[in-house]
Amino acid sequence: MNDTKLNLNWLRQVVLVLFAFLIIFYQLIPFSLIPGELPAPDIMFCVVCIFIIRRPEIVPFWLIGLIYFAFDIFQSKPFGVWTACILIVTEVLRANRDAFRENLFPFEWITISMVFVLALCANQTFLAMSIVETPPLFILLWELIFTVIAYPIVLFIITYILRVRKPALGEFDIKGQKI
Amino acid sequence: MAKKTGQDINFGRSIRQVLFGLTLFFLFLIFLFWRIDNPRAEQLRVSILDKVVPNMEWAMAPITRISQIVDDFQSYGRIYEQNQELRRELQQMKAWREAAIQLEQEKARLLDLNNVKLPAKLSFISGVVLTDSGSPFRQSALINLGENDGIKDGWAAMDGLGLLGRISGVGKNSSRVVFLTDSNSNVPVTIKPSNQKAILTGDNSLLPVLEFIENTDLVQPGDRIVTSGDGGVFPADLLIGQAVLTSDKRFRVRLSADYSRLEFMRIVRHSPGLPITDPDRLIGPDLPEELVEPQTQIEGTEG
Repeated sequence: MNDTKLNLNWLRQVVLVLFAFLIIFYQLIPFSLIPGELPAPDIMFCVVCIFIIRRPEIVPFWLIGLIYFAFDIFQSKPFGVWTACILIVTEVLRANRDAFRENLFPFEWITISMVFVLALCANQTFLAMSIVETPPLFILLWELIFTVIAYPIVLFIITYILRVRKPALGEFDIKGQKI
Repeated sequence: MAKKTGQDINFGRSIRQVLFGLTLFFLFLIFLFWRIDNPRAEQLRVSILDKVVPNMEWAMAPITRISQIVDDFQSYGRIYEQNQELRRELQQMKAWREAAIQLEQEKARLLDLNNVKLPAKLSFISGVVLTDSGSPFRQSALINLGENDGIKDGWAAMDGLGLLGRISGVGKNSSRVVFLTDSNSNVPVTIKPSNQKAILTGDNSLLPVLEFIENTDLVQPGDRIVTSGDGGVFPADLLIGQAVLTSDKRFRVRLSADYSRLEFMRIVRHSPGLPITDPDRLIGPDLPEELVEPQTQIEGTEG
């Protein structure tokens, strides 16, 4: 019993890593080389937060670190800063995840949005402090807006199509996890 | 988890905390490395991309192709306007071609009269765009030419007409081209016909800014912008674009290179000319030592 559960988590983590690579892959495709494009939402952040609130054992901090560090490398970002910001805010979320147990979705949505703002601010401040050129604010604003909009959609897909829910409700279907 | 005793959990938690702290510390160290030794860190990034991207090409190529087909399809919608536009442009081109031919003949005659020796023509090597930068904050692309093709850092990348950017980061089989529109791009330019020097600075928009113009009164919208060759990174006289005056009273450049349909680019092979260090040996026999001025300088300008 315990064994199968462990295997399942392992499988989910592999799927998560594959999903991360899919995101990187999609971002690298040269659809358009014109500057001034709007940024994509940080889907990975939504996924990570959703799992931390519902199934924290699937997303241990080292996995988040690895995924985000890969993002740093492939998205030509400064090494490590965004990863560290995400790690810190997700750790705060993880420590307070009991608060989400009884609460409704709007509360969760607002909190996650605030947490994302916090991560962006931390990233921006740290880069500015180390005199690295920071990304323009209006692009960050769009990224924030898109991520906030994307959150309920990702949540819907994860809860109703992949069937990952808050309380420990019996078994999980392996097939249900496949994307 | 439920089977573990409280002590075990506490122990596991503190180990976890230590590991978490170590991870953060490690990330901080990596950032320091990136900040302090940036060229080497970026080289590391390029070599990682160089390992991964060519392996993904088989999957990436069809998707890229489909997106291009969709783009092409969309452009059918305004085929009539395009046709008209092309006709007009063709008419203008004919006039220019005539002028160019006449100038060419005149130039040939003058060169003949002067017995001028021209520098060797620049040679090109063409590459295909593999990926873009993967982030809206950076304007760059990865191309399929690298060390194995003799690519060097700093070489100019052009499309058929204008300058696109420069090589920054070379891997074995791929290299990164940082576009003129990237906010890290600064290129010394000359504004024709007033021959003023300026710096073209990217700012993540399609119209990079002209900064440090000596005298803005002499610059007109529509002036041609070419590379000046100062600094020895780019060859001189590569076409960049035309000056435009935007509503914020700044001169910007409308780039001649077409970023919207970029599939191939040409990399200009260029090695800066050797500086002349020994002026007195250029002309005539050796002079006696006391006649030679000690601080004679001849600037090696190119082009």
